[in-house]
Formats: sequence, C-alpha cells, structure tokens
Amino acid sequence: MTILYLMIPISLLLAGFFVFGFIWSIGDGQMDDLETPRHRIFAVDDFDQTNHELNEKKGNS
Amino acid sequence: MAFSDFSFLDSDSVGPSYTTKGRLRGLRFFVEGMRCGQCVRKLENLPATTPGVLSSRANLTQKTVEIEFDSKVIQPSKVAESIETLGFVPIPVTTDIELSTLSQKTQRQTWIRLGVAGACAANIMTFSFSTYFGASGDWATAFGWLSFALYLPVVTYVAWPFYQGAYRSLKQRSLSIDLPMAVASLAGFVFSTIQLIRGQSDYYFDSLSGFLFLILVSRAIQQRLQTQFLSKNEFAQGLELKRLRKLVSSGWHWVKAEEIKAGQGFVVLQGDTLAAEGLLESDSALFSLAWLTGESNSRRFLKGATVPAGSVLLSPKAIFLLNKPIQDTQFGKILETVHDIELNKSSLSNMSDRWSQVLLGVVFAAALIFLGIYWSVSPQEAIRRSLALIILACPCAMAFGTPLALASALKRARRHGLVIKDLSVLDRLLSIETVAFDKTGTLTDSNLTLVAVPSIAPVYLKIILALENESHHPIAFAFRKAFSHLESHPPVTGLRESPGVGVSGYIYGRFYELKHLNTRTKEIACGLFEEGILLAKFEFSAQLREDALASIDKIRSYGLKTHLLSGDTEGSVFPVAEQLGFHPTEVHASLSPCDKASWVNKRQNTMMIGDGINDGLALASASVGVAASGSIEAALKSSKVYLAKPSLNGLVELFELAKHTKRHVRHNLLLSLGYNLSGGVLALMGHIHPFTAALLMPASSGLIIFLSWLRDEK
Repeated sequence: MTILYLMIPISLLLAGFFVFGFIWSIGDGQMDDLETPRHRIFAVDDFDQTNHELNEKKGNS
Repeated sequence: MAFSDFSFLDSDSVGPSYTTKGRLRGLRFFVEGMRCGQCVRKLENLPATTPGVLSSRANLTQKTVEIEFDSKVIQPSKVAESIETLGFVPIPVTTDIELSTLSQKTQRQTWIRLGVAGACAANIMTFSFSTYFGASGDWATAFGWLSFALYLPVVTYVAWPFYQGAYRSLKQRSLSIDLPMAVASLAGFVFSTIQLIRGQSDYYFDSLSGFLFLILVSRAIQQRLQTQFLSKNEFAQGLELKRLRKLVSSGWHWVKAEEIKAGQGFVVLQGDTLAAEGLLESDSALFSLAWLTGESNSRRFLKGATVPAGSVLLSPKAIFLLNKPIQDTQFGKILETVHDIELNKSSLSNMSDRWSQVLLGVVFAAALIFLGIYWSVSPQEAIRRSLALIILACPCAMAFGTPLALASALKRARRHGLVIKDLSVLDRLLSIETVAFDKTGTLTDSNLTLVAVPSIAPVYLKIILALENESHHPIAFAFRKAFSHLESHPPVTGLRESPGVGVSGYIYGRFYELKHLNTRTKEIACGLFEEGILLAKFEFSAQLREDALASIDKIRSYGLKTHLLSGDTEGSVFPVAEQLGFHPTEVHASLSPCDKASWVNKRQNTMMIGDGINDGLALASASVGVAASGSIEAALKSSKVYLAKPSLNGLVELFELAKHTKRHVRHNLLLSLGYNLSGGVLALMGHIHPFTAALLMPASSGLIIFLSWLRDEK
C-alpha cells in the first residue's frame, strides 16, 4: 500500500486547493447576494443583437 | 418631468457623506419600487444609457443599487435623477449605514466556517471509514492521526462561535444551544485524543466534525432566512432630517442640520419636512401637520409664527430663522422614542428558546448524573455514552424546526398579502388581549363619496368636473363618480392644483375655485367659489371597508376586546362606531397621535391597527403594530406588520397564521422531544455509538424538514 504515501498528500493538497478557492470566492463577494443573479440571465445584451444582425444579413434564413 | 431635489448630493458639506471614494466615486440608493427581475435589469442597464455611469449593481433582496460613476462626466445628483427617470424612487444612503440586517462580515464568516467544516469532516470520514470496516495496524493509526490533524481547524476555528456563545450564556446564567455544541466539540476532542495516544481505536473526530458541519448548515440557512425576510428600512425616512438649506446672500446651499445655529436663516422648499423648529420669515405659508396631529387638513402660518419641526411645506417656498434644533423638539422626541421602543422590543425571548433551555438543562443533568454513576463501572464507557447522548440530544428541532415553521409562516403570510417585519410578531400575537383600530384609512376606505348634491344649476357641476379633470385627489374621484352622467364640460384656462388647498381656473372668463373647507362635523368638505364668492358646499364621507364588520366580529369571537381610536371629532366617529358594533365605552375620539400612543401604552398586550405614517407612535408603542395604509417603507418603520391588500380580513388571517405556526412549532418540538427521549435512553444504555448518533441527528432533522414541507403543501 505504498501508493498511499503518494495519494494521501495529493488528496489533501487537492482538498486544500478547493477550500482555498471557496474562501477566495466568498472574499470576492460571490456568495453575498444569491437572489439577484438569477434575474440577470434574462438581460438583453450585445450578444443577442449581434445574433440578430447576423440573421438579417443572411436574409432571414 | 420634474425631478426630486437631489442637489444635496453635489454639495460640499452634505454630499461627501453619501459618496464613497476609491478609484471611482460610488453612490448607494435604497430603491423604492424595485420588485422584480425587470427592475434589476433596468437598473443594471444604466451604464449603457447614462454617460458617466460606469457600473451599476442591484440587489433585489435589500432593494438597493450601488453605482460607480466618473465625477468628471456626471454629477451625483444626475445619477439619482437617472434612476428616477426609470420610474423608481431613489433614496440616497449615507456610507456609514449597513444595508442588510446581518452584517456582511458575519455572513461571510459563517460561509467560510461552513466550507472548512465540510472539507475537514468529509476528509476525516474518508479516513475513518477504513477503520469501521476492520482496518488495523499501522495504517489505522496513521489514519487516526490524520483525522486528529484535520480536526484541529474544526475544534479551533470552526467551533469558535459556539465557544463564544456558550461563554456568554454561562455569564448570563442561561442555557443556550451553543453549550452542548461547545461541550461536545471540546470534550469529544480531548477524549478522542487521549484514546488515540493510548493506541485505542475509540476516537470520534468524524462524528464530531460531521455534527458541527450540520449545525453550521442550519445556522447558515437561518441567516439566509433572516436577510431574505427581514427588512431594514429605518434609514429611509430619517436621512432627510439631517440636512438643511442654509440661507446665504446668493441664495442657499446645503449644510448638515447641526451646523445651523439658532437665529440663522434656512430655506424650505415644497414637499420638504421641516428638520428643525423655525420662526417663519416669509409673509405666509401653508403646511401639513399630519405627522404631529394626524390631521390631513393644511394649516396656514403667518410671518413671525413658530412652525413645529415635522411639518411638511405645501407652499412653493418659505424662509425661516432657526428656533430649536430637531432633537429639542416634540417631533424629534417622538422619533427618538420610536427608535428606543424598537430596540427594547427586540430583546423579548420567544417560545422555542424557553423550550430549548429546558431540554438542554435536562440533557446536561442526565449526562452528568450518568457520568458520575457509570464512572465506577468503566470511565471510558461512561464518557462514550455521555458523548453519544450529548451529540444525539443536540436540539436540532430548535435549530431546524422553529426557523422552518417561521419561514413557512412568512411564506404563507406573503401569499395573503401580509408583510411581516419581525418574526417575534407571531409569538406575541398569541398573547394579545385588546385590539385598537384607527378610523380614517383603516376602517374606512381611502375613497370618498359625495354625501349630497346641493341644489345648484347643473352647469356648475360641469364646471366642477372641468376643474377636477386632471386631479388625482380622492375628492376629484368622488366628484367624477357622482357626476359621471354628465357628458361634456367646458374648457378651462389657467388650471392650477395646489396640494392641500384645491383647484382653480378660468372658465368663460370667470375665476372659479374648489377649495377645502374646515368643518366641525363631517370629515371633508369643499366649496365652489366664483370670483371669491361661495356658491355651494359639498360634503364627503369615507366609506367603510366592505369586510370591516365581518373581520371585527371574527376578532371579537376570539375573545379579544376591540376599541376605536380616532383623531376625528365625536360627531364623525360615533356613527361609524355604531355601524361596526362598538360599545360607546370602546370609542375614543379627538385623540392626537400622542394621546393614542399613551392609550396604547397603558394597556398590556395591545394590537394597534392604523395608518403607518400618522399613527406611527401608537403603532410602535403597541405590542403588535399593524399598518393598514400609508407607504410600505414608512409603515414598516413604525409597525411590525403591513397589510398590503386593502382588506381587514388580513388581520383575521394574521391571527390564524399565529395559531397555526404555534401548533407547527409545538409539533416539531414534541417530535424532537420524543426522538431525544428514546434516543437518549438508548444512548445511555450503550446501544448507540457516537458515530451512529452523529448520523441520527441529521436524519431526525431531515424528518422534521420533510414533515414541514408536507404541511406547507396542504
């Protein structure tokens, strides 16, 4: 079971990486407001407009 | 479009307390009228529509928006106006005010602790699983020490708030939920470490960390519920009273209210609330003293008169000399009292706290007694079983069950159009003995009806319609309803509407006015004047709300006493009281807002229903204050509940909700009690391993959540 000498440190390192990432995301304010982001996805933005222009160029096909 | 006056945001003395500095300047607003996703999108689209606005971040839960802008391109006041253009009412917020009920720091810390606890618990469990399946020898010991190492951040950082809470509760000589968690976490740690050092396999780092993680989950849920459902609106009304327009030779400029000394001049514009008591310098001006007297009629003051703080200016402009700063005035004292009352009321303990203290006391006593008795048989077994007991008997019903019941109560309340500000309301509703009703706007509709048409020529009725054509005043609606059969009306030139006074204009070359008349008996009257001569008087009465009688009778059937409190004269109050079945001793007329408040104060366990703005003091003094009218933000400043639907049936639903919730909480508590008793006995008899205990605990919580969900669906 000597493989465990490698696996345990790697798994702990991986876990530590994720915990660090989680703490960073909280410090970045990503968990502060979980209500409002769900409404943002419906915003009309430039991407839609570009799509529309492309369709027009193709002659509405 | 006329904008509200945001010029104070640009001023040098007042502006800086609103704008944050950084790479860019920032402004925060509380946005009245933000209710849905589209509002969020409109507000966040500001950078695209308004040059100079660089970023806009809305928060639907707090109803706020934070904007960053380039001060070289756009002024702060224009930023505010751009929000107003979208159709909202922006209220600028000073930088020192915390926007949500729970500080951002506390919330973030809970999340971080949750993450650390989860990561550690999961990894510890990974290592200990092998030992449960029979691993032994060197690797088992290694896993044991790894578990110990991973438990260190848990016992120190994650459990820290529980130690703090436990210490605090012991100092106050009360038992709180933090105690068993602190004890279990520490005692379990010490015991498990000793066992590990001795080479025994009897350690519980997995159970302990798992159990702490689950408790943190419930705490995080509780905090989310708090921020979602409880609103913090106190700042909305108060900020405008901190600034004044100081009179200077070139006109006026904004200063903080405390910077104006007695005898110095200040200017007030239409719609402003007086933020100080002033001596009127202008020849005459019209004010509304609704905040102080509850009357909606306007009062005219002449030069040299002292105008009280809290009056609202109805005339376009008035100049004053400062007499007394706001803290020294009656109005300022009212505001302070409302604030103090709010602080006191929030320290009431509620039902489940009492229950949980009892349960905890019993559990600790049982654990200690058992420890003492069983120590002589086998100290390790004694500790193991007590630990199992404490982990198992952790009052999860209090942690999960009561907030769940309250959250489902809030959901139900929302469905019925009840906006509840404070969860303690539901508990206090059950001990209410008296219910006091305000009359105007609460028992009566805000719509008016014309009582009788005096005998004048129909052409004058058409003139009235012409004058009231563009008015949104309740009187105008009443006229239009009464004279709807008249088809055409003559054209008007020079039409003017003066708020609080009336309408006027020129028809066929003659000057006509429809003005308010002050009367003794009926509530509202106005007169039609031609060239200054009174032609006819019109009287209006407010209609009773349709379900008023039914709702009040239902409330009486609960065994509650009902009273009517009104600022109007006896003549207009008694007819309404009779119709609604009030006994003469239950009717109190001609009360000022202060009188109403002292009446409410003298009686314990009183519920008051009134107008959120005019009856503010009485509503705040009552055990439960319910605002039936007025703007929601102003109402929630003084009262705990707001009826969004214009029906008094909301009150009946409120009582039903309180009863239902109490039953719900009681069921949850009984369930947890049953589980705790049976589980506790089994644990002390040695049938439950601490690990099993740690598993049973979330299972029982899951059961409670499931049952609550079933109840919701009914």
